[in-house]
Amino acid sequence: MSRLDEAFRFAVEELATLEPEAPLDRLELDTDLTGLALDSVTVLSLVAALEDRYGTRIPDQALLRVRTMSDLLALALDGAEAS
Amino acid sequence: MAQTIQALLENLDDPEGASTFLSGGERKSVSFADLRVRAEEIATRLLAAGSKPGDRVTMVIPDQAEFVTLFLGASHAGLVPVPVYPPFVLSELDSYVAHLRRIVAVSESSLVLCGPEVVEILRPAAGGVKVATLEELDPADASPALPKVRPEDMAFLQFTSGSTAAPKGVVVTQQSLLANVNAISEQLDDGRSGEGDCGVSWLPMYHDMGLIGQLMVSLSHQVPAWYLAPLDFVRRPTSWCDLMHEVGGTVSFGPNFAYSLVARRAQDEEIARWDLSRWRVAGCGAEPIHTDSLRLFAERLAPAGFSAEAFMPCYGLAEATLAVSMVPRGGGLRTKVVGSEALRERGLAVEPAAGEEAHEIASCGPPLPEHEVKIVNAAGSELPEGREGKILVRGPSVTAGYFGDPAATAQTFEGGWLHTGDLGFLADGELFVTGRDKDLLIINGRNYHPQDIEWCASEVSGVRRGNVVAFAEEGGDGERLVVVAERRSGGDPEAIEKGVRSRVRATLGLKVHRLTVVEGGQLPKTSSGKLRRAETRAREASGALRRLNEPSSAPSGVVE
Repeated sequence: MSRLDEAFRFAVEELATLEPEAPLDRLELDTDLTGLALDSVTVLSLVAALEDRYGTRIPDQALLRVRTMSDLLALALDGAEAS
Repeated sequence: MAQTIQALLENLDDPEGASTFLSGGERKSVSFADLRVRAEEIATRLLAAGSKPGDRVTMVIPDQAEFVTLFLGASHAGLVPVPVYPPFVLSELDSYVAHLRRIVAVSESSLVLCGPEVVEILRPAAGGVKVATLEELDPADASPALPKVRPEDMAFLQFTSGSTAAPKGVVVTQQSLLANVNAISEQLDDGRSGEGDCGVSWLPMYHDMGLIGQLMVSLSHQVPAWYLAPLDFVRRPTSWCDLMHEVGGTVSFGPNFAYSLVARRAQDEEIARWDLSRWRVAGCGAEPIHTDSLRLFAERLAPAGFSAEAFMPCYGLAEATLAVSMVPRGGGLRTKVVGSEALRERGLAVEPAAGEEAHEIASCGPPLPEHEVKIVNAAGSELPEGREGKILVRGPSVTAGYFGDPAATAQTFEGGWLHTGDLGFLADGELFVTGRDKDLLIINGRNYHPQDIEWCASEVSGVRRGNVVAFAEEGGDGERLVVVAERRSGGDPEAIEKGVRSRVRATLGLKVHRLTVVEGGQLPKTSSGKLRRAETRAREASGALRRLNEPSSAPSGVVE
């Protein structure tokens, strides 16, 4: 399993805890996250969980570029490598 | 007492007390005396770069410290800030840009002042109006004189998050702002004029509760305050209590959801570590108050020394600058339990009859000093205590209306009273808010709050909780109920339809005329995650929502 796949599995598990009613069966790496209508609390809680897991801090302005789960995971994994 | 932001700034002389801003683990403190100096520098630079007193300046500044100095600097220069929330995480940039353009146009802004982190993406967004950071402004005039700002001048334009296609900018004047700041300060004062107090806030500065309720109130008495970045709070909600504990915070405000979030997220070991015994004012406003949320917060955090008496539920709206009423200091959560049917059908706030469903409503306290609240019926006649009706407000905090919109101003600020659009009743001189007038559904002559129907439908298995919208549409013989519900993953649309119809009928005695089940994520929401009823209604009517269940309609009306 690649690091990206592992991170994706972690993110889905986190989302299932944070927002059990989200339509996660539609979630794939390239799913546009805005289509899942996750509220800002859920999204930022996921960001915090990824930061904790990968020991990094994702800058707020970098989040503005995130469209898909893949974009978000790349930020977490890139930050982890940099640190 | 200061009557303008400029006068308030000129009083800032404390070189020790400070505003401290926290973001991403970094801290930045600015003393009150330095804040005044910095505001003067910014004011001079803005005027030197060509801005004129009275000009509107749209401000999109994600960094709290930068926002505060720019807001105060622009105010000192006699400019009129127009705070706008910054583009948010995962926000759809196209819709954000369209929203920003509308605000720039409606406010007739001459400049969009941005933080460096967003300026590049917003530069093409303002429809021809200059977009720049402060550093990019060219100070052509070397030494412009600062104007004298008058109490009747505009202080800022407040656009609410619910504004959509036709945003309305509330004109907050200098005197309405300072009247509200002074009235709030009076409510918070424990006789020491802020001595020994310490404010803590994570509220965004583009929101009136953060800007006025925390920042301006703190500045008015030079009370030290700590400002946590809003996104840091949302990332880790318990960071609010971490900070309250660390700095011995005494006054902090938040909407209901924040208390609920902390109560659910706080771990026992965190609570054991916190000392929140100095927290003497826990303000709660900006959205409907759910008594269960506040009780849960008080119960969970009691071991940390949090006292439920600290709760200070409030009512207010942008058109009244911010606050209209507040529970007196130390009053805590005060509620009335009323019969749901009596309230719904006869507008009577009375104890529930035997077997009648009960509804607990939080007091938002008496009106602020020098302010009046009255409750009127549809004909405009004042109602006695215990009768539900429209909430009207009068007093020095009421604003000057909507910028450039005399028709809307005349409608909302009619006859010397602010028509809030909210419903409620008075009891023992205290205000109890029950819902929104404009959303009220009247079916077969009976009043229904859409929230009651939405909560009821949310309980049905397969429905995505909190993602239901109820509204009425005109039928041949009156209004009829339409419900749109998102389904959870795997929820069976036909079972949802059956369940919602059955539950709404059993609980509220209402027939659902039409139910539309949609996939999760289809309902339109505001930037702060609130459902947009009007837009949902428009999309449902136009067929823009993809229905998962077979169309079927029941006869309209109330079940007899």
